[in-house]
Amino acid sequence: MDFFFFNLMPYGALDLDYDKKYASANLVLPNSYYDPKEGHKLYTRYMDELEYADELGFDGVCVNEHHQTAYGLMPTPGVIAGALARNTKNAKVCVLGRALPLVNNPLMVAEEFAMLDNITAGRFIAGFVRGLGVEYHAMGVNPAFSLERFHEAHDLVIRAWTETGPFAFEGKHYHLQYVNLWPRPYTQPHPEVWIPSQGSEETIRWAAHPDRKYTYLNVYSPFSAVETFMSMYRRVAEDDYGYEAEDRQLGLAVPIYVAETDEIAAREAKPHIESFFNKFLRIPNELLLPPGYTSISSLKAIALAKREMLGGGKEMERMNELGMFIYGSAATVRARLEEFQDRVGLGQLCTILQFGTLPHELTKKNMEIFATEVIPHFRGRARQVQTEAAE
Amino acid sequence: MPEIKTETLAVRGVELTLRRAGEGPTLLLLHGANGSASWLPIMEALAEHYHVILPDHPGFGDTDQPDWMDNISDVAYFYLDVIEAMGLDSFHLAGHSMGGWIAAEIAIRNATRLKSLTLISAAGIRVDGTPMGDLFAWSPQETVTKAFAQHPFIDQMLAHEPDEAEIETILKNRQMAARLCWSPRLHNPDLKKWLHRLTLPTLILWGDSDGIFPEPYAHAYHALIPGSALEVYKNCGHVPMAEARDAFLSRLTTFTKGAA
Amino acid sequence: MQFARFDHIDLYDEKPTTIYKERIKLIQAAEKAGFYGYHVAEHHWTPLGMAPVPGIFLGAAAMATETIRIGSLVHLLPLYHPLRLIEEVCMLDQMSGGRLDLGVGRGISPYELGYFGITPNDSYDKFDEVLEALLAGLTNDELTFEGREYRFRQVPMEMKPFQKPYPPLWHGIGGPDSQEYAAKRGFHGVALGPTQAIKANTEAYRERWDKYTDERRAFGCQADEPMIGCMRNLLIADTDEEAHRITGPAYEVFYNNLSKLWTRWRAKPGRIIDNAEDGRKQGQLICGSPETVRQILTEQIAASGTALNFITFEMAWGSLSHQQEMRSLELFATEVMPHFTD
Repeated sequence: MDFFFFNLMPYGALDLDYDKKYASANLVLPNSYYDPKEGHKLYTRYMDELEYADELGFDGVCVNEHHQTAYGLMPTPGVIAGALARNTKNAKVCVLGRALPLVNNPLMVAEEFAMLDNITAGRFIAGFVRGLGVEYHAMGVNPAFSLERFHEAHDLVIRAWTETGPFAFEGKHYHLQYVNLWPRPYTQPHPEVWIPSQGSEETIRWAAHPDRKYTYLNVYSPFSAVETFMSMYRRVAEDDYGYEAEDRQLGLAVPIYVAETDEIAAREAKPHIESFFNKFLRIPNELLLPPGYTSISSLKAIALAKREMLGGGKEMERMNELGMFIYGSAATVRARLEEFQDRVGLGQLCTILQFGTLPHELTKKNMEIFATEVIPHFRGRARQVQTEAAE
Repeated sequence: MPEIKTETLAVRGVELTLRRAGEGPTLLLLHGANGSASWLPIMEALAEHYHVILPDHPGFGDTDQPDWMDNISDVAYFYLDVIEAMGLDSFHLAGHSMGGWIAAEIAIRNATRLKSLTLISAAGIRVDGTPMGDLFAWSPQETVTKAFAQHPFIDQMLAHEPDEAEIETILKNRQMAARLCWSPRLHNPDLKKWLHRLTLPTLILWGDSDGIFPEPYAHAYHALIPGSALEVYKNCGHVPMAEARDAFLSRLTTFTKGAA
Repeated sequence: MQFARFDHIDLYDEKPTTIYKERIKLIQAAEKAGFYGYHVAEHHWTPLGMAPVPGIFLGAAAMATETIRIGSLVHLLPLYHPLRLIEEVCMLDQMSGGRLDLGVGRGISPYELGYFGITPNDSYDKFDEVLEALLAGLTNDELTFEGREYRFRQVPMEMKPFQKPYPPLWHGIGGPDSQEYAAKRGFHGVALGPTQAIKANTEAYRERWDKYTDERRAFGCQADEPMIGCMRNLLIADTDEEAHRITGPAYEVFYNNLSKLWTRWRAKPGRIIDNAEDGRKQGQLICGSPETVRQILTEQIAASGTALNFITFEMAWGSLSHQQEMRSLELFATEVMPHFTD
């Protein structure tokens, strides 16, 4: 299993009482709530943490893209990735991912990623996402065309990376007379691609295709759903495509807090992880799921269940039960991760060790204990497949 | 009471569902983003005066979405095909909200078969400095309070619990509306260049408390269509057919008689 | 004060055949010099440990010696099947004529254990189970055992240890948990680290040993007095200058071997000193001329408290040559050891 340090860069200085007046810290919270002096400190701190992760031996450091939100301060992750490309030595620099449908010219994503791949001499992972539904409000792009644009943009990027230009790209949404990428990617045929996703059969089927074999990185799902999606990936690979998926094709991003004891971990993490779920990640359905973004049957199920997908009221203990947040002593966290590894054959773990309002000292401690008391135990460890007898 | 009959018509690979009722001059109604439900309550009353035709636009209600239909211009041209296929001539065209936008787009392209045009709380143009309401970002409750001004209507709609079939229709309509209207949001930047082509009798009806297209939009349309008539109803939201029903009926019937 | 030799058998110059032969010679030299014993470590898949199966090397050592005790520090019990471990222990004890010391431990390297699919979460339970089964096998004519992982039914114990009831058991005593565990079972204990840590740990262990008399007797331990010791890296040369000249580079090689698996994963082994100078300052590394070493040893023993009665020296390590190692041993035997043994 490989280990990645994922920093979402939330605006940790957020006035947590904002929700008395505004429905979400995404999109609708006025940017007067952002203090650049605090922002500068946060950027400095978060970038230090990402670089520290490289020192601690993490296999990769990850950033992502979000717009107009206190949840994540990286509308252009390339800015951070560029700095990391120079300030890390061993860890892969991972952008997880660029929201392809939100850009008007996907060629720019191909270019930016090719630059990062060249600068790091291939120490780079390219992630592609559709973007959260709320970002279609933020960026003015039509969610009804999200999937079309995603696939077209993806195809354009891959072709730009792999075909000798100049060639013309004639798509429905994107048309370019000249595609002729300078620089070409360092990695051949192209950088490793990951697809962060909350899980859909369509996405999995597409990612697992033998032409692609992209790593499917599950984000923010209960572990029961993770199991479903990962076994779906393996089944699709074997039954439909005739190959055996490798562990490296299955990834999980999950917030984790490890401390000296279970009690200390619970006490230190609770306010911050609950701020993460209830203050930063809280988005009402009408913003989160604009029409056209997801299928009518999914929306219908949600409407009938009267379920707020990212409503508040989430408790740490419950999130832990669901497997959406792991916390405890090193032994506790190890046991949980062993379970994950054995049940689904997880190959990549993206640890979100800074979340919400978690301050630097606790983040650092979290990182250090994780790096010294959790990671080493998994380096040599292969997935232990359960047999009937071993109960 | 005039009977409403439902039928389908195949045009350009689309099985268009439409309702007909009444006898008299033909009135083609174009519905808005939330579907033909906004016209249905008044259809029978209209059928006393007109032969009313109320289609479900492709992708709305009972009509399926063709994968080639991407924008309002497509819808407008599609309806020109429908009008020809149905053999409609010398008829009155009325559109509400997004349907008003479609009606305007039809008319600037080819008004030869039209007798009159009525635009009700219509989308289609942008009034800089007066933002539209973002109906794609509202909860169902917010949509009601922004679209209606009068409490009997608000309360009734808030109290209504849609069943599964209704939910499915609502979601379908919203999805197609998003496809057609998301960006540029609920307008065609080029439309205002060509509204001067509307030399046929044109009536603009609006509510003064429209939370989606505020009153300045009515005046903007009025200014862009020389010779158009304008009426703004007091204490009326986005659906004058509901909240100013009697005045609406009276004005429309008078108008179309005069345009005959 | 008893002295012994400790050995990782780390790899240098890539000639394993030669290394094993030279190590046997060193053990024989230690025997002649009157050392208490020789203990080898168990490490896997790392150049640090060329005796991943300690039993094989100890078998060779048993046949090459007569009087010196031989053993492990430690056998990594979670990696052993209890039945095979019983067999191995009995063979070694018989082949050596009752000179076996059996060290028992869980393993310190997460990478090594990880290769076997074992994490600390399982290793505690596995250790207990293997130890329990081992001792039951050594002390009974027939072994019936019901554990979580292992179940044995009436296995005839044809193999028997030479020493009764079983060979002395050794364990690490570097912290309160291991001290508790070891004292209740009557294990001999070894710690490493800076001198003040040795004092703290050995005295704490003595206290616990005295406290848990009943428990250890119930466990089957027949010793009244524990061996409580520390481990030191040692290099003696004819002059201080020569000793320092050799030690620095040799320690670097030793440390690289020790940390290789950590370095591979860009981590650092905790609490292990990474250079000779700090090693000397902290007391883990003793080097110099015989006079200097005598002096250092005297100071260390004085500073290590009253419980320490055993020091095991790692005398072959890193890039030290066989000649340097033999000379070091010789100088220790003739010019240092006599000053400390009664």
